[in-house]
Amino acid sequence: MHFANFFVAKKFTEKRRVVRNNIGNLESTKAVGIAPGETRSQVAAASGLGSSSRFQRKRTGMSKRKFACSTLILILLTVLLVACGYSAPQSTPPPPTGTARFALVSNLTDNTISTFAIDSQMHGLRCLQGARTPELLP
Amino acid sequence: MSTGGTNSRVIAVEPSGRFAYVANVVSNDISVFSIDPNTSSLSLVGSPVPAEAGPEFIAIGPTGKLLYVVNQNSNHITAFSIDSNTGALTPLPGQVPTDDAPVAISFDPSGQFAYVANFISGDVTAYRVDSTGALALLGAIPADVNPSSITMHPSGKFAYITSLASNEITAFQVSQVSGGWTPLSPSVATGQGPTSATVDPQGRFVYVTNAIEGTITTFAVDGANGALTLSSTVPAGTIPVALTLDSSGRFAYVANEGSNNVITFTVDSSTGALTPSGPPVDAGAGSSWVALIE
Repeated sequence: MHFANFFVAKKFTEKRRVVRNNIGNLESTKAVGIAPGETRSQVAAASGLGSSSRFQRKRTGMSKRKFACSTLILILLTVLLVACGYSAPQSTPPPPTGTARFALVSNLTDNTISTFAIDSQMHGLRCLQGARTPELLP
Repeated sequence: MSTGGTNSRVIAVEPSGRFAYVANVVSNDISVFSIDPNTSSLSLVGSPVPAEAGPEFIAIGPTGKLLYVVNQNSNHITAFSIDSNTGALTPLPGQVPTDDAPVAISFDPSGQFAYVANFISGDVTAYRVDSTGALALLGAIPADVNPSSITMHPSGKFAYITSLASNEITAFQVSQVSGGWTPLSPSVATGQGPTSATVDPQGRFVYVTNAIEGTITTFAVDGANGALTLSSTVPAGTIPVALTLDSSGRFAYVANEGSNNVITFTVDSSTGALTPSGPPVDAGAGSSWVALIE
């Protein structure tokens, strides 16, 4: 099997396992949460949360407050970042690509031609033929 | 790889990229190489082909089937036909006169005209190119003192000549009907010792190698009138003598005759500014020309 396909298949299997576990949790919550014939208020009272309608109201109230707080924090953070000169990162353009594959260099003094391969990404020259041997320093 | 000649300077690559020619200025001949398309390794094809005195510059003509040779010491142009199978050169009869000490030839993009810079007479001789590639002398255009190189704008509307003695580059407007030139005054200062001018493929920038001061100057081209404006200057190696751009215009390769190496530059697409993309790479002694194979 191709490596890429192997990883895709593995990922998919893991995802299915997580979904199956979540379904299991939901089913167990459902089984433990409300017994047949039991009302929501009875469950709420047993758990010390009060009546169902109050519980609902309380939850809604908390959510709104949380939302308002989060929005305020976000706005303050944005103002602070802009004031500090922050700008959203720009997407980096891809590096330019050269069109030449090889370079020939004439050498007037030693009457030779050197041949270089051109790296398509880094655009550096790699000697293939005829570059000067560096001098041996003492 | 040895050229088999002496004072090997200008390289011309045949359009298919299968053959390369090198002018040997002192031994008065042309070396012929076949190029391996996969590895680019060179093989010398036979012995160097005799040319006239001082083949200072060579160029493949507009048809891709002829090699033109500028003979500095005999003041004329000669031509060879290229065998498309073997790359072998066959001399064509006749010589076309230049003025004193021709050093460079350039063809206009339409292929109708050719121009030769004459170093000692300080002018440019213009030629009409017929369908067979034969050159007919039209006349001479006065240039600055000691013109050292000549380059045409890709639009065919402008031409540029560097002057080694006055450290300037002059822009000319080109008549695409008569082939005549009109100077766009004034000339613009280059660095010390301009030896070559190269226009980028989009015609937006001109690059000049300044051999004496070891720099490259970038000029911005006014697309409407061809005028040049100094844009930036960067250090090169010792005695930079030639600059070659790839066909994308994004990379420049500079041959440094004094430091025996080549520097690759990245070209800024908006300003034309050059930035070295790495350290110089050693070539042979007296690196004087870079030809690219794509």
